[in-house]
Amino acid sequence: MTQGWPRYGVFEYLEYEMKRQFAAVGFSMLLALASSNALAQKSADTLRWASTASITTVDPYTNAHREALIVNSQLVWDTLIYRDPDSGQYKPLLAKSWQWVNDQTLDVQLRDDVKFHDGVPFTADDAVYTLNWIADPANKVSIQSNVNWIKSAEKTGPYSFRLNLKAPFPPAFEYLSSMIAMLPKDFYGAGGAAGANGRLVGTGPYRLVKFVPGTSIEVERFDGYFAGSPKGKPAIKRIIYRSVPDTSTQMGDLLSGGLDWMWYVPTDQAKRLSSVKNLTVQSSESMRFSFLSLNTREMATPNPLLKKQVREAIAHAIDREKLAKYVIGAGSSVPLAACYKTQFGCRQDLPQFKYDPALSKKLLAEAGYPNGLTLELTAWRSRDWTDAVTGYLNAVGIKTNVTFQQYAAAYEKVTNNTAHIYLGDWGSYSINDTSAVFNNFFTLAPNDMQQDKELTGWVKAAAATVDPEVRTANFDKALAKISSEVYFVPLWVHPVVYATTADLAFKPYADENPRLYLAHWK
Amino acid sequence: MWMYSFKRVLMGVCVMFAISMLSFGLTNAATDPAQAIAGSGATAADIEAIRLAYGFDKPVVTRYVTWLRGALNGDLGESYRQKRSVVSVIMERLPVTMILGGLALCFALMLSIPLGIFAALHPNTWVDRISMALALVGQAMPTFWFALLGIVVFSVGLGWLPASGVSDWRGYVLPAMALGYYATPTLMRLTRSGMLEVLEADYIRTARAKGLSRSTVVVKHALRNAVLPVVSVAAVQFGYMLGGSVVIETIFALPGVGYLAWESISLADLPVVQAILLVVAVIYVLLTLASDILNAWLDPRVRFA
Amino acid sequence: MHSLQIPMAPEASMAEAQSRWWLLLRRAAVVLRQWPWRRMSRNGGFMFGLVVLLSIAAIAALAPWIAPHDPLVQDIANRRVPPIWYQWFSEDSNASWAHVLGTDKLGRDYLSRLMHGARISLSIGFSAALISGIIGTVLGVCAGYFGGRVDALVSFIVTTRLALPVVLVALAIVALHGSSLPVLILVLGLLLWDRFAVVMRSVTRQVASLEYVTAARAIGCSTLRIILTEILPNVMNAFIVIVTIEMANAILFEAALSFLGLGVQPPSPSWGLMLAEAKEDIFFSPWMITIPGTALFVLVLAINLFGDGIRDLTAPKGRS
Repeated sequence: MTQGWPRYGVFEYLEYEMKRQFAAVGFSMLLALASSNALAQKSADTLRWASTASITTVDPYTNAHREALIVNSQLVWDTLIYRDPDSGQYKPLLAKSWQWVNDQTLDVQLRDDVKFHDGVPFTADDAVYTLNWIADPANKVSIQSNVNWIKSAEKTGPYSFRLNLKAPFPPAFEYLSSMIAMLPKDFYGAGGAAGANGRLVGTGPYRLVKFVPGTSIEVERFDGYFAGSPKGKPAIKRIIYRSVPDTSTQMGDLLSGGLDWMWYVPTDQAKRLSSVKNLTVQSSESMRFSFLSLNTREMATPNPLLKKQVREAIAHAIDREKLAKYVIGAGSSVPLAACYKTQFGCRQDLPQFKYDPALSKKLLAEAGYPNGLTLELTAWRSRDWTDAVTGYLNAVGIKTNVTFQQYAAAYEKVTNNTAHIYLGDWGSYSINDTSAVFNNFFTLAPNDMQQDKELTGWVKAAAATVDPEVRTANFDKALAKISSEVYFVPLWVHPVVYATTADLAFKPYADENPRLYLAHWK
Repeated sequence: MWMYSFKRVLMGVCVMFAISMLSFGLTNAATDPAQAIAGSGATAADIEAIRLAYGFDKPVVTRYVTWLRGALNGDLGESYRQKRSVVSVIMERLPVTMILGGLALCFALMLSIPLGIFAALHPNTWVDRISMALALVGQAMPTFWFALLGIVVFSVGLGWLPASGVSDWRGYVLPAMALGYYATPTLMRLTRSGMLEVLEADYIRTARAKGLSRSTVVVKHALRNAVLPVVSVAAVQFGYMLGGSVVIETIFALPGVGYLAWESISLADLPVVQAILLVVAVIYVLLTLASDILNAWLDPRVRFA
Repeated sequence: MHSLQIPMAPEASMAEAQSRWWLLLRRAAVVLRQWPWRRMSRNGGFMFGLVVLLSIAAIAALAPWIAPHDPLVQDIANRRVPPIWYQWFSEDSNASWAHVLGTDKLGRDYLSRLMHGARISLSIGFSAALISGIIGTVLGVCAGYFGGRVDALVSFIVTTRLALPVVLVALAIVALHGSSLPVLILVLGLLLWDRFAVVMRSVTRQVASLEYVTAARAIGCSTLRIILTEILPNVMNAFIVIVTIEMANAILFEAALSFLGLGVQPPSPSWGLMLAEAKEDIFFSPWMITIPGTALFVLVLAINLFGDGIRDLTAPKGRS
C-alpha cells in the first residue's frame, strides 16, 4: 500500500524547505549585521548623547533633571543674559541692555530681531508671560528655589519690560543667565502642559524635531537663528538625546559606536576608557561637592550626635585626601568649607580636621562610647563612595546601618528625622554664590538637620542685602560655625568625566554645563 | 461550556478587583510622595505645597474608592512626574514591551518545540540528554548575566547589535533572546513529555500501522494534541514576561512598561506604579482566561475536571 | 467520634509515649532501608547536584574559618587586582596568590566575598523556600482535603497571586520599606508559594481518597490528626522536590533584586550584589562579572539537578 508513496514526507520536505529559507534569511541578516552598526555619526552630522535621566517633559520649568533644565533647554531656548564660560562676563543675549532701578527692580530692553522657530517674532509679551507664569507657585514649577525670587514682570514697551523682585537678590544674574529661559506667550495654555498652545518652539540655535517622553529628544539646527548671538552658530546639524538608565550600557554603546557623548563616567572607568583608541576622555571639576550632614536634632531615641565629641570623631575618622585621590579620582579635591571654592563668600582659611583614627577612638571613649556605637546613615548617589566612607567609620568603631535608595526614599529619612548621618551632595545648580548652598540646607525647614537659629539668622542676613561686605561677613560667620560645630563634614568635589568619540571636539567647563552648541567635528 | 466560561470569567473579575486593592494598598502604604515629586533640588516649602495640592492628607480608603471609580471609567489618574494621564503614559510604552514579549516567546517556542519533538522522538539517547542539559543550563543562568555577556560579545566585541535602544529591529534581538530563553526549558519539557505521552497512544499506533510516513504522524496527529498544554503555558509565560521584563528593559534601555515601572517606583510616581500593576495583571488574567476557554473548547475533558 | 475513643489511665500514657517514639524510629528505619540508594548512585545528574550542593553548603558553613581575608575589609590602594591566572597570561598585572580570585572595586578579596556570599545566597534561598513552602502547603493541603468552598477560595487566592507581576511587586515593597534581610526573605517567601499550593493540593486530593485515610476518619481521628499523621508524610516527597525548585528560584530572584539595587545591601557580599557592583567593569575586567555569575549558575544548576533527581527517584513511573 505504501510502495507508491514518496520517500520524503511532508515533515522532511518542510524540514528541507525551512532549512533553505532559514539559510537565505540568516545569510542576509548576517550581511546586514556585519555592515556598520552605527549611523556613521560624523558623516550624518548627528551628535548622539545619552544620560541616565529620563526626561518626561521637555520644557525647562516642569523639570528637575539637569539634562533638560540646562543642557537641552539652552539648545532650544535662550535666556535674557549670557554668561561667557571662558571670561565669566555677562553679555546680552535676548536682552540687549538692562538697568537696576533699585535693589529690587530691573528694567530690561530686548532685541527686536529675534524670531521663534515658527517665524513669529519674540517680543516683551513673551518675556512677561514667562516670568509671571514661573513666579506663580500655583503653576508648580519643579524647582521653586530657582524662580521664587521673582515677584512679577510688567511690559513697558513692545521690546522692553520691568522685572520686580520680591527682595534684593544678589545672584539674580546667575539665574537669569542659566535657567530663566524665555518661552512663547501662552506656552502652557490653561492646563500647564508644555506647548499647549501648539507652539513647542523657542528662540534658540536648535529647534525641537521629535520628543518621546522618557526616551529621546531630537533637535535640529535652526538656520534662522539671529546673527550676533554670543552663542554663535552651531556647527553640528542634529543632536539626539537618548535616556539610557544604566551607565555600563552607556559605556557599551560608546564602545560599540552607538553613542558619541556621555558624561558622569564612573571615575574608575575613565582611565580604562581613555586607552581605547577612538575615544576621548576628559575630566573637569564641577561645583558639586559631597558632604556628611550630621543630625543635631533630638530624635526618637537618644541621639549620640548631640555630643560634639562624637561629631568631631566622625570628622577625624575619614581620610579625605586618600578618598579624593584614589576613590573619586582625577579632577577631585577636598573642599575646605561647606561650599565650592569659586562661589562668592566661600572662605578657604578654616582649620581642617586631620585624618586621625586614634584621636577618633579617643573622642568616642570620652563621649561615653569606648566600644563604638551604631548610627543610621542615608545615602543615594553612589554605592561605591558610600561604602568607602562607611568603611572608614567602621574602622573606628562607628557601625552604620546604611539606607541606600533612590533619592526620594533616602531623603525622606532626613526630613522625618530618622537618620543620624546624611551623605549627600549639592551642585548649587552651578550658581556661583554660597547662598545657593545655604538656602537649601540651613533654613529651619524640616530638612534642616541642624536647626540652628543663630546660623539661620546669618544666612538670612546674607540673603537680604546686595552689599558684598555685609554678605561676606555673614557667610564667614556661618561657615566658621558649620565647621567648628561639625554640622557638615565636606568630603570631596565631584569631578565630571566626559567620554566622547574622538571625532568630536568638545570642551567641558567647571560649571557642570556641557555646551553642546559649541561642539564641532574635528 | 457556557457554565464553565461564565465561572472562569467571574473568577477573573474577582481576581482583578483583588489585584486593584492590593496594588493600591501596596503603593500607598508608606512613603512620602511629595518629596519624590519635588525632586532632589527642592526646599521644604515646595514639598508642603505639593502635598496640599495633590491631596495626600486624605484617608486611604477614600483615595482608593476615588481611584477605582476613575479606573472603571478608563481614567487611571495623572502621573505625578509627567503631568499627563497615566493611560497615555502606559500606552506609549506598552507596544515595546508587547513586541519584546512576543519576540521572546517566539524565540522560546522556536527553540523549545523542535528540541522537544526531537528529544521525544529519540528518547534516552544522547540527543535527548543534550537537549535536557541545554534546558537545565538555560534555567540556571541569571537573565541579567546572560544579557550583560550578550552585550560584551555581540555589541562591543562583534559590533553586530546595539547595546541599547530600539532605533531599529536589531535592538530587539538581544533583549528578546535574554528574556525568552528562560521560558525555553519549561516549554521544551512540556513538549517532550506531551509528545511522549501522545506517541504512546493508540491512535498513533493506528496511524503508523496504516503506513503513514513518520512526518505525517508527527505533524498531523501527534503534534496537534501534544501542543495544547504548550499553548496554554506559553500564554502564561507571556504574562510573566510582561511583568518580568524590568531587568532586561533597564539593561538595554528599552522604553517599555517594565522600565517605566522601575522608574516610577524609584521616583515614587504612585499612580503609574498602581496602574502598571493593574494593567499587567489584567492582561495576564485575560490571557489565562482565553487559554482556559480555548483549552476547554478543544479538549472537553478539561471542563469537567 | 469521641465516644469511640478508649480512655487511658495516666500511668499508661508514659509507656504509650515511649512506644510511640519507638514506632517512629522503626518507621524511619524502614523508610531508609527502602530508600533507593543504588538508583541514586546511578543517576549521574542527581549525584553531581548532591555533591556540588553539599560542597557549597560546607564552604558556606565554614566560611568564617576558611576564607583567606575578611570580606568587608576594604583596601583602596589595591583595587581591582586581577585573579591569579592573569599572572601567567599577561605580565603587566599585579595578580598574586594573596588574592587568588582578585579584588573588587574597593579592594576586598573576591574569594572571601564569594565564600561569604554563599552563606547569604543559601540562607536566603532556604529560608524563603521554607516560608513559601509552609504557606503554600497549608493552603494546598486545606484546599485538597476540604474541597468545596475552601478549595474555591484557595484557588482564588492562588490565581490572584499568579496574576501579580512578582518582580514589580517585590521592587515596590522593597523600595518603600527598605531592603533589610528579614524584609527580603519575607517578601520572597510571600511571593513564591504558588507552586507549593498547586502541587500540594493535587497530591493531597490523591492521598485523601486513599483507603487508609477514609479508615482513619471512620475510627474517629480528628481532622488535624489525620492531616498531620496521614496526609503530610505522603506529600513530603513532592514538598522536597518543590522546595528545591523554589530555592533555586528564590536565589535567582534575590540576585535580580540585588542587581537592581533593591536586594541585599552593601557591604554584604551577596552574589547578585557582586554582579551589580561589577557591571561597569565588564568591558575591561570581565572576570569580575564572570566569577559570581558562574558561582550562581553552578549553585542553581546543582539545586535543579538535585531536585530533578529526587523527583525521578520518588516518582512512581520515573517520568515527569
